[in-house]
Amino acid sequence: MATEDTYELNIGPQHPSTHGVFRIKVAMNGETIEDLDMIVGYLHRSMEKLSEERTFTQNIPFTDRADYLAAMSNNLGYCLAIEKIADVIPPQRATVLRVIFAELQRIASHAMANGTLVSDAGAWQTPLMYMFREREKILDLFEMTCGARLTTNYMRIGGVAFEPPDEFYAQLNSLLGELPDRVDEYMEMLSENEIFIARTKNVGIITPEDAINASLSGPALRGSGVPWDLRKAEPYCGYEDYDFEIPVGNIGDSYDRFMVRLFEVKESVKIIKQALNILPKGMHKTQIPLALRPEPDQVYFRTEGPRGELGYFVITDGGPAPYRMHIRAPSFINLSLLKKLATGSSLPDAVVTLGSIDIVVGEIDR
Amino acid sequence: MIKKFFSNTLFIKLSIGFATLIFLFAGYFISKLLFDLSVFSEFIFNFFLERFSYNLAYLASSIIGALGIISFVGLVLLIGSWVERRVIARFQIRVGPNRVGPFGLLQPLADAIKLMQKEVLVPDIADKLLFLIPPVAIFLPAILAWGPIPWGPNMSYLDINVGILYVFAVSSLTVPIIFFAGWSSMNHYALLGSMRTVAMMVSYEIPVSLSLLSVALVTGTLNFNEIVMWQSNNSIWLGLFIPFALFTFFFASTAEINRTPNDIAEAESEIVAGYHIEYSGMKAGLFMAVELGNAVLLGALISSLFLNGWFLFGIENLVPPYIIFITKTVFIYLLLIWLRATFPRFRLDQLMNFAWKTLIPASIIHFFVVAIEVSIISNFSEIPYLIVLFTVINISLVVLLAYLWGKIFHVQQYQPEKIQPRFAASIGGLEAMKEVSSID
Amino acid sequence: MIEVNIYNAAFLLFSMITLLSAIGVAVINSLMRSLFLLIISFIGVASLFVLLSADFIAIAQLLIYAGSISILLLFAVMLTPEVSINNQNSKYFLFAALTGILFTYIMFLFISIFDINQLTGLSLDKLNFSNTIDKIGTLLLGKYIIAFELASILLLFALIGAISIVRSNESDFNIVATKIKGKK
Repeated sequence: MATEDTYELNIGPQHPSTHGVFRIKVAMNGETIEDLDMIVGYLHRSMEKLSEERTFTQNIPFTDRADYLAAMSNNLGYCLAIEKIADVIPPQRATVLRVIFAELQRIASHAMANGTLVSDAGAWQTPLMYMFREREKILDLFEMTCGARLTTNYMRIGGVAFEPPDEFYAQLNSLLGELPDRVDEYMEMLSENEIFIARTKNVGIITPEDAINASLSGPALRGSGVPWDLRKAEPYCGYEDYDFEIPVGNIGDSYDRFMVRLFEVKESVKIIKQALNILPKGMHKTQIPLALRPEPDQVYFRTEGPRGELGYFVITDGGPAPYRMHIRAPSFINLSLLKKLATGSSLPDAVVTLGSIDIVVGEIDR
Repeated sequence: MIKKFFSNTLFIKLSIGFATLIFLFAGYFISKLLFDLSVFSEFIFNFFLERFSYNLAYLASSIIGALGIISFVGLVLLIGSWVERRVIARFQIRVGPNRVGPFGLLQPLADAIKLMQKEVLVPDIADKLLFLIPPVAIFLPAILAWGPIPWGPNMSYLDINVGILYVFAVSSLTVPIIFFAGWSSMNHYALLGSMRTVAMMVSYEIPVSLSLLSVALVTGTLNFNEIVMWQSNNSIWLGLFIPFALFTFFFASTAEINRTPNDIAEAESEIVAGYHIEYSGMKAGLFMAVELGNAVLLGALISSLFLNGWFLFGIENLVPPYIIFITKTVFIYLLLIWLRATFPRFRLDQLMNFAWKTLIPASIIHFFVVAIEVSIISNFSEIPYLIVLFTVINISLVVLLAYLWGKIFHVQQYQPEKIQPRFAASIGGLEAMKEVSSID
Repeated sequence: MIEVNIYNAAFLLFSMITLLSAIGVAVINSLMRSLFLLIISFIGVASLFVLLSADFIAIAQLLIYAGSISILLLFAVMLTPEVSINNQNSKYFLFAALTGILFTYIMFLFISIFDINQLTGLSLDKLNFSNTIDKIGTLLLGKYIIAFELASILLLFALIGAISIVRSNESDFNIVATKIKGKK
């Protein structure tokens, strides 16, 4: 990889801006990246293989640990896949609660993504701390509902694990009231900040063609101007009943991806407000057999996670555990374009590009 | 009964008021007593002169003065890190260090003890000699540059006629030291960091020197004391008279001392720690301490060169002047902390472009403008308030130019398109590819 | 004979530092280390100037040699391959040694003309020039204006030459750029 003109630089596995134990082997010429190899697997926990040994319900905690910044969304995707293969229909209340929690998780995850992006651009953690403030409030809501903050393990096959306590709704409402103001605050603070614009505008441009060819999804795809969102394209959990819009970027640079995430937070707030209005009374969970044994079949169910298309491919052989399970991790597929984006750019630009793509290494390595 | 009395809030209020009164009186008397700290060195000088030779007296009083400055810098390094962490914590809606000692004041000491206990790692392939010298050697310029700073009337350690040049020369010694630190580590990150530092310092020394040159041109001297006296004699702050020089000096100095938004030499998210990546324990701590000391030094330089040193509208007759000077220094230091808490960092090429294509030509033009103004002032000295007139002109020019610059590089507010998405039946795969291509 | 006073002691100390580090520059194998010693030797020369009450020259020595020329040399050393490896086997060893001996002899001839006590220390105090920078400035822009202007013209030419050298390499940058584009 390294030639006579270049030298080799190891970015990672321990590096502040690889967002986990992820390693990029870079051939550099001065400050310019000429070639790079991405090396993953430092966080591999053999999740997919382990899940073949456990029952369907026992596998839910694994999905928490795949994308540890969006545990709720992962729970949701897995449970929907199993419900589809086992023909379990969750009660209406559970579906709406699922939407609420998935959207809250999306806000928390986007706050984290944008905060770390600004930190990668060099801000001394102040925007990160500001965005952590909202994330903390959301994690508080998670904690009062299911006892955990990060690895929630909240969704169940056929519903959700617990009914949210009464004080949950008051806190959620006050949070929803202040979130749009917070988003405006960030826009004021960052989207018109000359230094931030200089660092992110026209950096890491993904053209729509490239994005579709590389099978990108989520904000990385929508930042390039492709209006593709599974909540609209293949609605699940009754997303077709909600009124919300899909923000898309203009040219597909890091700044666009940042802004798409900020606008998506506003849209998520709209969805949660509508969900609270239509939240029906009733059971939050249906009874399913302790050892669920679906017919031999295979299913691929995809949901729109915070990072893109989160798919669960499950094959059953009639036993109590999946015969094979595969997670289509959006981070992994979005990351594949990094080589093209970073080659020829400088090291700071590559770091910002990586931050704007928003990877979670737990999901890449699984 | 007694217990009840002591727990009374009135008692607490009374005792607080009493303590405040005592504190005020004590402060007044101490400030009267310590109005001019140079009495100490004078006393020692006379003491030795009566008993021993002139040379020994000179040596002894100079050592006392140097110890005073070094102890002040050491205190600043200890308190400054606490201040920086607390203030940045407040910016970031955190509390900051609050466990060790009252208000966490002993946190820097705890940090230092922790750093000293840590193992000093020396890389196997490093050039051992050159690796071990820089953390110590980098303290020399950082301490030496405090020499000609005027703390108050009659309180300047090195009252030399080449004061500005001295500070400039001594601080330029940092460059090779940082380079040796980065090179001898035999680490690509360290080498990148040290090359960035060298490139930045070489570029930004030019605007710094040009801005200081306009200061020297206006005041007609390179002596810090005379610069401060010029400002008080003409009752104008140089920062107001030549605001552009103040801006240039401040911005370029942030690049030289590695502060946000120009801290690319040790950009954490890119090259981890830059030139001191391989240093561990107290050696890394020394680099960080020097960085902090340089920030305070920048405050001291700005307050003496541009903010009229120890003068503050006559308050210098009531309060010890060095207190005023330190207050101004701390103010500039807090400004640096504010910058650090707020801004992302520039990229290397952006900074170099700004230095060579904008800052240096602008400072050269500014230098000519200042030269013309100074010659007008010195030729028409009978006209009163000429300096005030030029102050108003300079400030309005800078504001106008900044406004125009903002207009030219105005960034429009971002409005993403909100396209209602097409559904799965109509978009996907190659079809989507064609459709997207036709949109553009 | 040299008087024993604080000036001469300081002179001895600083000249020892200067000479020893200068010898080290020639003797030590590692280029970087000899560069480091060279900077120390520059600083020693600057402190010798301080002893001579030539404050401006001392500062200029520090600023230009220790601060700037050393950076230039750093870049030069960085461009030489195998920086830290033995570079002793020079073909010109004999020639260099002869030149050094000749130069030392000439220096000694000059030094023996002057009395060292007249050049250092207390005898300088009697001259009582407290401010050298004014005099240097007046002389440079008065009596020696032609030399000053010629030097500045030379520097301007050097600057223009450097820029033109950099600009002629622009085509190389283009080649690199197309290479990178080709990889894409």
